[in-house]
Amino acid sequence: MRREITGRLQEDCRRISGEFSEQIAKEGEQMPEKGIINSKQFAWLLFIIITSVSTSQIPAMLVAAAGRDAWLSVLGGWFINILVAALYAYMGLRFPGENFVQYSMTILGKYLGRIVGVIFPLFFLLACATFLRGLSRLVNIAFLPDTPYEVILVSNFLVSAYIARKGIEVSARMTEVLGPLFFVSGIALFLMVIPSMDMSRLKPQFADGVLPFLKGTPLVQAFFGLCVIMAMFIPVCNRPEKAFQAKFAAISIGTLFVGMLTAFGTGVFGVEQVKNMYSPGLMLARMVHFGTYLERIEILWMVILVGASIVAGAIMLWAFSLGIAQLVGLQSYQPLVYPAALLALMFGLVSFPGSGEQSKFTHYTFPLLALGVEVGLEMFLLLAALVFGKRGSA
Amino acid sequence: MRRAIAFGLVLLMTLLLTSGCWDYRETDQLAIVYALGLDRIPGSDPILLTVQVVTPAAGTSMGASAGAGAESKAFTTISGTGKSVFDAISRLGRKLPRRLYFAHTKIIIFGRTLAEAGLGDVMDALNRNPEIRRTTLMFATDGSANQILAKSTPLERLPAKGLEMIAEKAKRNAFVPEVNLNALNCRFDGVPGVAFLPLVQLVKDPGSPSGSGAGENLTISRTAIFAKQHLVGILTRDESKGLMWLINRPQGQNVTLDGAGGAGVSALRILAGQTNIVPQVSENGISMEITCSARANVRETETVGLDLNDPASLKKLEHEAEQVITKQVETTITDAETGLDADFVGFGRQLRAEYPAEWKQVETSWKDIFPSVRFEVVCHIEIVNTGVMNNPSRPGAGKE
Repeated sequence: MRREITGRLQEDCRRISGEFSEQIAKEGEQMPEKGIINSKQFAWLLFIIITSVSTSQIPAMLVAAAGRDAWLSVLGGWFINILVAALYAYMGLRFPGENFVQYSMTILGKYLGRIVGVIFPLFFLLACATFLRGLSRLVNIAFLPDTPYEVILVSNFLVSAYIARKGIEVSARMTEVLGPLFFVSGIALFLMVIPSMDMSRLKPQFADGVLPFLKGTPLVQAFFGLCVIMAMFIPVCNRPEKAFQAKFAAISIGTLFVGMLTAFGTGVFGVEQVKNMYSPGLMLARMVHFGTYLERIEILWMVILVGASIVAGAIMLWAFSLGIAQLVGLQSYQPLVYPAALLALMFGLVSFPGSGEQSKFTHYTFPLLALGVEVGLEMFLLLAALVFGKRGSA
Repeated sequence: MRRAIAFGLVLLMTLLLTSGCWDYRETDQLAIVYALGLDRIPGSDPILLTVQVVTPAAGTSMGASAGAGAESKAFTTISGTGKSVFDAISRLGRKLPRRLYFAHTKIIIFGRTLAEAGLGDVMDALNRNPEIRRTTLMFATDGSANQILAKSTPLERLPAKGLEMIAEKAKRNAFVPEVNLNALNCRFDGVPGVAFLPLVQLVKDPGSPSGSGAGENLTISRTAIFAKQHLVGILTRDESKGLMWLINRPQGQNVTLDGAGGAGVSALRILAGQTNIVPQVSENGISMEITCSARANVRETETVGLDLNDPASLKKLEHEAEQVITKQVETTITDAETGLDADFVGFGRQLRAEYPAEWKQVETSWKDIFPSVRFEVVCHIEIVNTGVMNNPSRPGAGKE
């Protein structure tokens, strides 16, 4: 009896260690994510993540920085973003099948590479936490004032983590539905507020020279730059060489959306009002009134925005978990998703005592940090790759 | 089996959610505010808030309660005081069994006392309230908002609804502008910081419709002018019409020609019109060129001896109308420049849009420069049709 048990135990041990060594052998060639997305999904994923974050953050902040020229700054941000995207796409092609976590290890070696590589996932976790926090606050102040804020935030994170755990394919298919819906509803909204718009509120452009425009452009890039996440998508995309095209389409539609939002916000409310608004997009939706039969549609806008934002949050959680899983060599990223969500939730709950600190963070600290990671770090990796002559193996 | 138990547990858990969220609001617990009035009164609680609340039962039991006691009013007017708007709302809430609900507020009226003391104290409360929409119509009154809201209107069960419809008509016939909360904010934030609001008045009317109380009726025909959020003056009817041209909303306006050439009264209606204000900056100062152009039709004519089939006589009418409109617009601008000393006509805004560099130089001293801005009004009216008939069907008309 006893011998039997020992025998079985030994057998189990052997089997487990065998699996383990098999896993170690596979490490490096095997992705913890097995899903594959096509380039259309790639574009909608990027569109959702850029637009939902920008929609809730950019307009008010940008108008405060660039005044009436804000919508032009969005175009400037688009241009810079295209340049940066070319860099991401090039890196994705130079290191085929690798995302930035992996190629930072390839370029800088095992230890330094891990230290640099961990910055990207952490950045996504931070972005996810601040973004979902901002969204929950909007729901809280505009729709559910008596509901505890924590309840909204926790439910957001629960859904996001659930989606993230299902893998990139699920998020991709969701964005394929939500992306067009988001875009079309936005354009419909802009058309419907035209009667409330006064073009003279946008005049004159460049009244204070080009300085406000130049001040606004990096701010736009800081949020558009979240598309650095495309480096996580390239290895799971079925046609990585089309990454740049997909990205170009995504950022162009995104720019159209955010640019129109900024322009219409300024045209309807004027500079002074927009820059003091928590969410100009929501306020625009509240301005819609066609006679007495089509009004109070802001809840539709909010439903779509919340949907898109939860998916965006899910993608960021996925990127964090996948990155960390690759850094430490796990076979699956899935066990990390809920802990990651908990981490982000705690960060969102405890790091800002109030809305003042949060706006300070999103207006000053986050853009700097984002630009550092999105442009600075990626440039650094490119230079290092060129200097050391490193290339991916495929 | 395990799956079934787990499923049952999940089902039980969902029961917890059926109680609703924290923010549930049952309609039978709400007092729906249709109109809101604000006055300033002397004392330690300077804000007098008046709300017109829809009486819920009055709407439903209309037919059934014929003869069951006194006729129930469709609205209730309640007022309360407070140190601020929010304070007044919460104090008023203590007197009411139901929660005051502002999401359906259509009208906000500022009483004269508040308007003269300045709207600055109350604008923030209105803008910050998540229930109040920026599409809410704004009005001023030369009396107290409290009185206006207590007044019932003929034909309409809900006086605020009646007021809303009067305002809609005022906009359609272009005699006073329609201003919502957003537009008011924009005017105050804009270049000269000058705004205008339609003025609601209680007027004694000899031929008042029956059932409207003491022969007083609500009317909107004039415009109140605010500078730096204070009431500075009230435009006459003609000046209000001139203002409609200056803010580029003349569609629907009636132009009454009182027959200066000895002929009878005629009336034209503006079908579509446009006003362009073009600023010009030269060595001898700033001047504005105002071009009003419109198409109109004939609504009424008593003119004897005018053949409306003849283009030449239409030209005569057109010319007469042009003179009337030019005079209206000129009077409005003159009043703005010399009388009220407030740039509600939008000259500063136009100057900033077209000449940003020059505007920067005059921005700080605009108040002193504005009265000296020269202007020229040019008007082009084209009569496109004469309505359903050509000449007045009076015997002998057109032959003399």
